[in-house]
Order: sequence, then structure tokens, then C-alpha cells
Amino acid sequence: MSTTEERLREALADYDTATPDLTDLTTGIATGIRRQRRKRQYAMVGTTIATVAVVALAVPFSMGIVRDHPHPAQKAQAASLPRLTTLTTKIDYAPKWLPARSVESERVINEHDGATARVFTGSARVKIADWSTPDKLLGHTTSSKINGKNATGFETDGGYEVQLPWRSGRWLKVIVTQAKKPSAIALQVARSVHTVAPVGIDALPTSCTIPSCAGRPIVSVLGKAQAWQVIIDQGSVEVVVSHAYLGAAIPDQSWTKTVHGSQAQLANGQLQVDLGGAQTLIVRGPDSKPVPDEQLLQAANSALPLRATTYEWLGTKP
Amino acid sequence: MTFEEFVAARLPTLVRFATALTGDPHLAQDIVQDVMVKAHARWRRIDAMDRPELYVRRAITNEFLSWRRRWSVRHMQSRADVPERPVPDHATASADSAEVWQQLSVLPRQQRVVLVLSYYEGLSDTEIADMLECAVGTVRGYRSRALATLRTALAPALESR
Repeated sequence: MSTTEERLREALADYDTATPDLTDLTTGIATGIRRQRRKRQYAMVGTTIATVAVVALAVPFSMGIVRDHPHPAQKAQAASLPRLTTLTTKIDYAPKWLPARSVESERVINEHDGATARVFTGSARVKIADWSTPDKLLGHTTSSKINGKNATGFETDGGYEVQLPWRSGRWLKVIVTQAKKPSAIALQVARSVHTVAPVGIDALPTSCTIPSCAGRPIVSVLGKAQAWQVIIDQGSVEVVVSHAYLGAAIPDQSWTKTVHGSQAQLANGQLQVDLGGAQTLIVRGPDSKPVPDEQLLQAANSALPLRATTYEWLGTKP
Repeated sequence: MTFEEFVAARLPTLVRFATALTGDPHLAQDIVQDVMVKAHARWRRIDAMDRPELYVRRAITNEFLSWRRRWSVRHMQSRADVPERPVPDHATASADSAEVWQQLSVLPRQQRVVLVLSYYEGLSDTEIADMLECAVGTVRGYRSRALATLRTALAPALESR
């Protein structure tokens, strides 16, 4: 190595030992977040005003929608559900070994590319994913052989990941967090993953049927059998149904709307409907992207009917 | 991990990384602040990623590259305008670091980013190319030119010692 490179490395290393004073920065971040919220609210006022004219013209249409969908408390008992109740992608792998007290706490299905994931929580959090592409490797990596395949391990934020090619053009990833020795657990879990009879995530509790919900969704079901949350990301809008699950807090400043006879609150770019019976419906733009209020309302109206679903596989061992 | 937990755990590391990029603690904090405010708005999605910190670091790098473009318009930095940095004035080694930093501060921003990612973060050329979304050859070209500039600039200092 040249002298210049050595001197450069030493100069840059000076910052590793420096502890910056972050008081002003943390205050600045908090202030910036508050300012951003205010900007979104102001923007929403403008959007709402613009929407008034559209809504005024669309009253007959809206009334039609309302008549088609009675109160959710009545419709929650309905047996029939619109499309999206069945996902085509299945999960056909499971670990033979997991840390103590591990039970399944989440399944993710991506209908776009067939990527899936299973999450198990117990004495550690273990995520096992089947992906079409490998993660980009940064920093120090460790190579090992798992079932004859070259596996790569590396540290992640607060944990460890092992990834290896498996099956045709697919990658297996095991990410372990909330553990004292995440690397050892990740390797042991990765060695134990095997093919099993395919499982899904059961019926979805709702379905959004407006045109902007026509995309193939990414669905995540998490929680416990009787207290769960389902997130259906369809590209243009994201529909979240929570049942006895810790929900998002209602912001201080909001605009009250009526969706199927239930009071809904619209704030910070999301529409939240308290459906009663410990059930909440949220409609929002993905990645906090702004979505016109009218579209959120249409999506919420079309997202019903809901039905009480129990995800029996949540909280069980694989 | 909540946004607040991430900030509490990773903020010092991110600021050090940004400081290495910018050579200016104040500018580094400005950039980190901007990035974290934007990250807050989409935190749920970032947190769902396997490596949220990698995403934030990439955002900091991109913010630095674009920030420097805006910054340079209103704050033309001369070679004499050495950025503030934690350099004790009693050690020869630190004085040497200060000299290196002074030369680093006047390099073109892409060259500087490549040096920091190579020698501070320890990334490979392929990883840097992925991060900057450019060809591996481009990364090597930036580093080669940056090191050549540094060698030329630092040589007189070495000889005078």
C-alpha cells in the first residue's frame, strides 16, 4: 500500500473516535418532522378544497356507492368476499430448527415476483425469505458451505444475515435479530430449512375493488391468531385492516368523513375508519405518497365488506 | 425497530459517516437532518427492509452529492478555507491528518465519496459501484485520479518534514 493510502486511512479513522454532540441535531430532526407534518396538512387543505367541486358533481354516484354497502357492522357478517381473497403464491419451506419458544408471527407474500417470507419470534427474531435476487453485500462478509451451496454471512442492523442460492434462480435469506449470537442462529436455521407442503396466509379480511387497486398485491399478515394486522399494498393504495391490534394513533388535526355510516378520520394522507368490534380500516398511499382524498374514500368504500377472520397459523410452531 | 430507536442507536455512526464525506461537521449534521426527516415520512417501509441503515447511508451519500452542487454555488470553498474538524494541534500525526483532510476537501465530490467509501467504510469497488449506480471502472477511475492528486499535493509536505 502506498504512503498516501496509509495516510488517508489514518486521517479518515480520526472520525471513528470522535463523538459528535448531537443535541442540536436531534432537536433539528424533531423540528423538521413537525414542519413536514404541517406542510402535508396544508397541502391536504388545498386538495380538500379542490375535491369539493369534484365531490359535488359526484354526489349521485357516491350515494349509489353508499347504498350498495350498508354499515360495516352488518356487512362484517357477510360470507361472500370480492376478489383478492385467494393469493396464488404459496410458501413451501420451513425450518427444522429454531431458537427456543419460537412461533410464527408473520407471513409475507409478494404476488409480483413470488417472493415470500416467514417470521418466527421467540428468544430471537428469525426471518426466512425466498427471494429472486440476493442482497447487496457491504462491509465484512464470511463464507461457508450450507448443504453444498456457497453461503455468505454478514452483519446487519442489530443482527446477522446469511444468504445462499437455492432452488432455481432463487435465494434463501435468513435474518436473525434480537439475539445475543445472531450469526450462530442464522447459520443453524439456514442449514435446517427444507421443503414442505405449501402453505398460504388464508383469506384476506377485505378487498379493495376500485381500478387503482387492480395491481397484484404484496400482502403481509402479522400478529397473533386473535389480534392481527393485514397490510395489502397494491401499488397505488395500501389497505390495512387491524383486528384487536395496536393501531396507528389518530393525529390531532384531522378531517372527519363518513364511510359506510362509520366515522372516518382523514389526516396526514391516510383515512382511518373505526369499524367497532376492535377492528380498524386504514387506507393510505404507499410509502406515505400523497393520494387524493377522493381516491382514499373510494378505496375505503370499495374495501368492504370485512369479515372477522382468525389466522390460526399465527402463534404456532412450523 | 421504531424510528426513535433507530435514531437513538445509529445517529452518532451516521453523523461520523457524513462528516467523513463532507469534512465539515456542521454540513454533515445538516445533511443527516434532511435525510432523517425524509426517512421519518416513509419509516415503515424503510424499517421493513432487511438493512435499513444501508438505505439511510445511501441516502446520505446521494444527499451529499446533490447538496454539494447547491452548496458550491453559494459557498465557493477555497483551498485556504479548511473545514472545521476535530484535530488536536499537539500531535504530529494529527497535523498530518489535517494536511490530508485539507487536500481531501478540495477534491471533486465523486472522487471524495469513492475515497471515503473505500478507506473509511471499507467497501469493495463493486459495492461502491452499486451504491453510486455507476460502472466499476468509473469507481476505479475516480479513485486513481483522487490518489494521484493527493500524492502530488502531499509530496511537498512530506519532503519538508
